[in-house]
Amino acid sequence: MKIKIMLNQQVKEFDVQPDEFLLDTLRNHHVTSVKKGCDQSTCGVCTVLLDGKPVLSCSLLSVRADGHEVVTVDGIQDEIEKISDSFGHEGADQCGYCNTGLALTIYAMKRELKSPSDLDIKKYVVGNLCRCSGYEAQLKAIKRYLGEKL
Amino acid sequence: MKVVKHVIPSVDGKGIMMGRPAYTDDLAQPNSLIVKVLRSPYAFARIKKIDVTKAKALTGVELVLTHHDVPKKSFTRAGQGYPEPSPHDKFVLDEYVRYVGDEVAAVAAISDKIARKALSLIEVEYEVLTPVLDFEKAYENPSIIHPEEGIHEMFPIGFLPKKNVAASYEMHVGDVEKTLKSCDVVIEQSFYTQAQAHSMMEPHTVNAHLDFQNRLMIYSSTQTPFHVRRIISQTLDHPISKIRVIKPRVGGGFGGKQALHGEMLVSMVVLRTKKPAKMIYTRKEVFESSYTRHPMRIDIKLGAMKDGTLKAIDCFVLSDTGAYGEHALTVFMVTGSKVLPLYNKVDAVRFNGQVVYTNHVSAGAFRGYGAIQGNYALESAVDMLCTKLKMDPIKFRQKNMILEGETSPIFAIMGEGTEGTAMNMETCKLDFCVKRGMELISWKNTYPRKQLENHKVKGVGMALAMQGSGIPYIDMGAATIKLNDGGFYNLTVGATDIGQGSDTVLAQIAAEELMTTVDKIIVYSSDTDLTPFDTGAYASSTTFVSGNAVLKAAVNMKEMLMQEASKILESDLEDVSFDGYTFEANEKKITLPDLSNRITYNHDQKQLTATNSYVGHKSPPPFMAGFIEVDVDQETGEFDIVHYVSVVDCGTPINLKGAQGQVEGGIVQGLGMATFEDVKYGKKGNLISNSFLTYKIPTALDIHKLTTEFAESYEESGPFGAKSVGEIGIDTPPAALSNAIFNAVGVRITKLPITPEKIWRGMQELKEKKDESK
Amino acid sequence: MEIKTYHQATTLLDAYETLNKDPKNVIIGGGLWLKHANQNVNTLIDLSQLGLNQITEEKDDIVVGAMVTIRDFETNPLIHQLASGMLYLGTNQIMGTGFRNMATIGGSIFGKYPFSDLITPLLALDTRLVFFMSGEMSLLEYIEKKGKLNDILVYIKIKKHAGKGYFKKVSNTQLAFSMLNVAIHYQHQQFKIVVGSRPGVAELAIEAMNHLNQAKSVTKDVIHEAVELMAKTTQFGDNEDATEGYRRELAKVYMKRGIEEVLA
Repeated sequence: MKIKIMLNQQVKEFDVQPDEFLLDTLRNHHVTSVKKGCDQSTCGVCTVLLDGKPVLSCSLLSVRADGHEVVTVDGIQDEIEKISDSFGHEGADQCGYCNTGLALTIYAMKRELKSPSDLDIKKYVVGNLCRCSGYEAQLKAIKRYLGEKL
Repeated sequence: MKVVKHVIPSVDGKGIMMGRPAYTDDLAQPNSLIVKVLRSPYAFARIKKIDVTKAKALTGVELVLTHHDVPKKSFTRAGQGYPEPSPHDKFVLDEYVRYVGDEVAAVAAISDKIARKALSLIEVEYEVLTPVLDFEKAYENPSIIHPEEGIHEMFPIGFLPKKNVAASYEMHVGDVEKTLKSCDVVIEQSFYTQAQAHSMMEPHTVNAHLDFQNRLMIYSSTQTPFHVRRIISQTLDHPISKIRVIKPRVGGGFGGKQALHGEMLVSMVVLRTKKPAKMIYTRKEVFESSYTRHPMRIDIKLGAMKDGTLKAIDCFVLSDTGAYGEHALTVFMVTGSKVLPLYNKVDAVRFNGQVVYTNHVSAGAFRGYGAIQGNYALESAVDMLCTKLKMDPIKFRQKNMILEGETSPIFAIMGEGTEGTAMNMETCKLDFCVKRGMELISWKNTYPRKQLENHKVKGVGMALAMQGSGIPYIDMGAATIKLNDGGFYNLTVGATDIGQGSDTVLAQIAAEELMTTVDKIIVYSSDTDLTPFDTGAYASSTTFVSGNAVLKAAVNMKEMLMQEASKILESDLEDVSFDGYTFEANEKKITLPDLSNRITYNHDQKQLTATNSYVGHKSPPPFMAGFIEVDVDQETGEFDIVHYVSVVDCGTPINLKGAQGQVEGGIVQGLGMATFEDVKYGKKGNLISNSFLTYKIPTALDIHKLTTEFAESYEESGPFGAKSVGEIGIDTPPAALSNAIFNAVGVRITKLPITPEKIWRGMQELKEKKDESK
Repeated sequence: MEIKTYHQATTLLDAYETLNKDPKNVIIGGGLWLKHANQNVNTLIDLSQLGLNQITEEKDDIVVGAMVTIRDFETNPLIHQLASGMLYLGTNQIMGTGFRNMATIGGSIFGKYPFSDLITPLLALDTRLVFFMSGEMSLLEYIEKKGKLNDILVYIKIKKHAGKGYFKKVSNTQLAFSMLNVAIHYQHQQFKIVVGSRPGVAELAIEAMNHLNQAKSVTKDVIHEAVELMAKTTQFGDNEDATEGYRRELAKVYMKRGIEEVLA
C-alpha cells in the first residue's frame, strides 16, 4: 500500500505492508534516530511525534500514519540540541539509547504542560523507561530545559 | 585539577540525542541477511531428529544451520581473560537443549518474515528429558544436564558436570567452628536472592560482513570486543588476524553483554554465505535466551561477644548458574571476596559452596557480580545479630568494619577464579560515609521507627558495601595518544564505553595530564584493529586500569612534546615550560598547533604517538554506606521509598555528574532487585517474566529522592586518585531495605524480593504470635 | 501476526458489514494489543475516519466517542471535574503518555480486560454503552454478558454526576497492571462500590452497598460490617501479582478508606 507521511516537514511516500509498523518503516528508510527497545508497546524507546503528540512507533501501523505528520529528532535539531545541553550538564545521558524517544516526549511536554510540578514531569515521561540513570539526573535536566529553577 | 573532578558533559551525548547513527544496528549493511534462531520449547531435551529440508527450500532462505553443520569444539561464551575461569561447556549448536529458549537451529534469510516462516518449517523430534528446575535439588540429581563429551574446565575450578556442579570453592581463616562455640551470641540464617534480568534498553544486536580484504568484520553490542574476537577465532578455527570486532555505541550492558550472544551464529552465516548478516534479539529473547543474575541461597552464621566484637563469619553459598557455566565460579567467589572483608577483624572466617547447573536460563555477569547477593545476606545478618545483642547497628558496624590502613586476609586468598592479591586499604572512608549518611537521612531522628498518621510508620535502615577496581594481574588496558596537525590529539583505547561514560572519563584523564581541554582529545574506542588491547567493561576496571594506561600514555606524550619543543626552541630540556598550549624557553615561544604543523609538514617531520599499558597490582575497593527511608502502610504492607542516601568513597570522581549517575543508576537497579524485579518460571521451566509487562523495572515515579555524595578520598595507585564507581551503587539497597522494614514493622524478609504482600504476611504472623502469647 | 488487508471504514455500516464477512476480520482501536496477539488477521478495520474521537456534553450525559484516546479523555475538563476526578485517576495511571495517546476508550472497554483501571470507576458511575446494532445498554449489562459481542461500540455515555468519587489502583509500579482496584461513588447518601482486577473483571459489591445504603447512619461499625460483607461475597483469586488472601485484604482496606474519604 502506498502511504504519504509528512516526515520532518517533508512529504515522503512509502510503500508498506498492512502489518508493517512505523518504527520499521522509518528504520528501513535510514531514519535510524528512532530506536527499537522492546518492540511491544512497553518501554517508550521508539517514541515519535504524531501530529505533535508522543506515540509508540513500534505499535503504530504505518498505514494509520498515512496523511499525518511525523516528527523525529532529525526534524527539530535546534530544540533537541537545547535538551541535550541540559542532559550534558546534569550527566543525565549515559548509554543514550532511550534519549531520542525521551527527547521527543520532553519536547511535546514543554508545549503541552504549563508550569508542571516535579510530579507532573515524572508522570509525563514515566512511559520512557531508562535503565541507566535512575531518573534523578533526567528530572534535573528536564527542569533545566523547561527553564525552571532547580 | 582543571578537568578531572569537574562537571564535564559527555563527549557523545549530544550527537546521540540529535540522532546520529551510532549503535550496532544503525551501522548494519542495508541488505544484511536476517538471522533467526529456532529455540527449544523444552527445558531439557535431546534432539533425536531435525529435518530442515522444507526450511531450506523456502525462497529467500540462504542458509540453515543445525548441530550437524557446526564445529564440535566446546567454548565458553563468557567474556573473560584467557584462559577463562568459566568451563568450556557450550557448543555452537548442540544435540542437547538445556533451557526453554536454548538454540536448536539457525536460519539466514532475506527478510524477517521469511526467516520466521522458515523457522516454522523446521521439523524437530525431541526426546524430552526430566529438567532440573530446583537448584537445591540439582547436586547429584539423576538428570545430568551436561552428559556430553568434549567439555572441560580451563584450570581447576571444581568442575564436576556428572554431579551437575559447574564450580566449587572453599577457603577459611582460623577455625570457624571453634570460634563460634566460644561466642556469647550466634545467629544463623539462610537468605535467598532471586535471578534478576538486566533489562538494558538496547536488545543484544550483532551484524557482520566480509570487507574488501576478505576479513570478517563484526559490529557487536558487546562489553568485550577483544574476547569476542578470540572466542570466535578459536571456536570456528578462523585465523584471528582475519577477524575484526568493533563495538559501536551500546545501549546498556550491566554485565548482560559480557558474554557472546549472536556473534557466533552470525559469523558462521557470513563465512558460509559470504553475505552480510545480522541478528537482533527480540525483547522476549533478551529475557529468555540471554543471561540473568545468579540466584543464590546464602547460609550465614555470625558469632559475636556481648561487647559487640564480631568474632566469626561462616558463609556457605549455593549458586544456580542455569544451563551453562558462564561466570559461574567468579560471581560465586565475589559473593565472598567483595563482601566478607568489610568485617576484617574477625578471628575466623570461612567461605565455601558450589555452583550448580539447572535447566534455567543461563546465569552470567550482572553488575555487582555476587557482591549484591552476598551483601544482602551479610548486612541483613549483621542487623539480626545486633537485635540479638541489643546493640545499635551503626555502633556495631563502626566497631567492626574495615578502616583505612587496615587489610583483610581474604584479599590475599580470594582472587577471581585464582589466588588473590594482598593489599592494604590505602583509602577507606567508611567512617566518614557512615557519619555523613546518618546526617543526610536524619538517622537519629527516626531510628528505628517513627509513627506517622494514616496507618503509616517510617523506618530507616542501612548497609555498608565494597567492590573492587579491576582484577589485579589479569585485567590489562592500553591507550595510544597521537598528536595531529592543528594541535589536537587522538586518544585510542580498547576500553569499552557501554554508556558508563568511559570515553569521556578517559578523555578527561588525558586532558588533565596534557593540560588541555576535553574537546582537544578525540576518543575512539573498542576496535580490535585500530585500538590497543583492553579486557573490556567489567569488574569496575575502566577508570582504574584503562585510566592508568591513558595517564601513562599522556605522560609519555608530554615528554615527547617537551623534547620536540626543546629542539625547536634550541634550549635545554630543563628550561622548557609548557602550559598545555604554549612551550616557552629562554624568551622563545611556540604554540602546540604551530609545533604540530611544523613537525607534520615543514621540518624534521615525524608522527608523535605514545602507547602505554597498565595491569593492576591491586584492586583498591570503593566503599559506600547506603541509607534508606521508607514509609510502610501498617495495614497493607505497601511501602514508599522516600529517600535513598549514598555516601561513596570512590577515590577521585573523575567526572562529577558521571560518577553520580553511576551510583544513582546502580541504586535504582538495586532497589529494583530489592522490591519487585523477579525472574519467574512456570512449572515446565518456561520463563513467565519474559516481557516488560510481566517483568517490572523501576520507573520515574517509583523513586522519590536520591541523595549522593562523595567522600574526599585520593587513592595513590589510581589515575588522579580514582578507584572505581561502576558497580558499588547496586550493592546496598536489598539489605538496607530489609533492615528498614524490620526497623519499621518488625518483619524480617530473608527471601528477595521484598514485596508488600510478604511484609503484610509477616505482620499477620507477628500479630498471631502476639495474640497467642496473651 | 500477519494482517492481509487494511480497510479504512467509510461508515459504521461499512465497518459492520466488513466485520461480518470473515471471522478473522477485526476492528482496531488503539492497536496496542497488536504486538501481543498471536492470531492472524484477514482484514483490519479502522474507524478513524468516522468522527468518533469527540467528547461532547449533553443535558444529562458526557458522550465519549469510542475512538477518543485515553489521553484526550483524561485531560478533558469535564472528565477531570467529574466525581472528585475518579475517572481521571482511573485513566491517568495506565502505562505512559505515548501509550495513552494511542489507546482508545472504546478499545479499553470492549475487551472487558479484568485488569482494566477504566472499567472499575465507570461501573461505579451511571455508564451506558451505545453499540451500532445492539443499541444502548448499561456497562454492567455489557460486563455480565457472556461471550464476545459481534457489534461495534460507538459511544460511551457517562451521567454528569455530582457527588464524591474515590479510585485506588494498587500495583507494583506505575507501568504494571493493577493487582487490585477499588472505585466508590457517593451521592444522595447512596454508595456504589466496585472492586476490580480481583484478578477477575470489575464487579459491584452489591451486598456491601445495600448494607451501607439501608443503614440509618453510616457508623464505623456499619462500615466495618459492609467491608466484611464485601470480603465474603466477592470472589478473589491468585495470580503472579498477588494471592487471593492478599487481594481480599487490599480490597477491605481500600474500601474502608474510600468510604471514609467520600464521607469526609
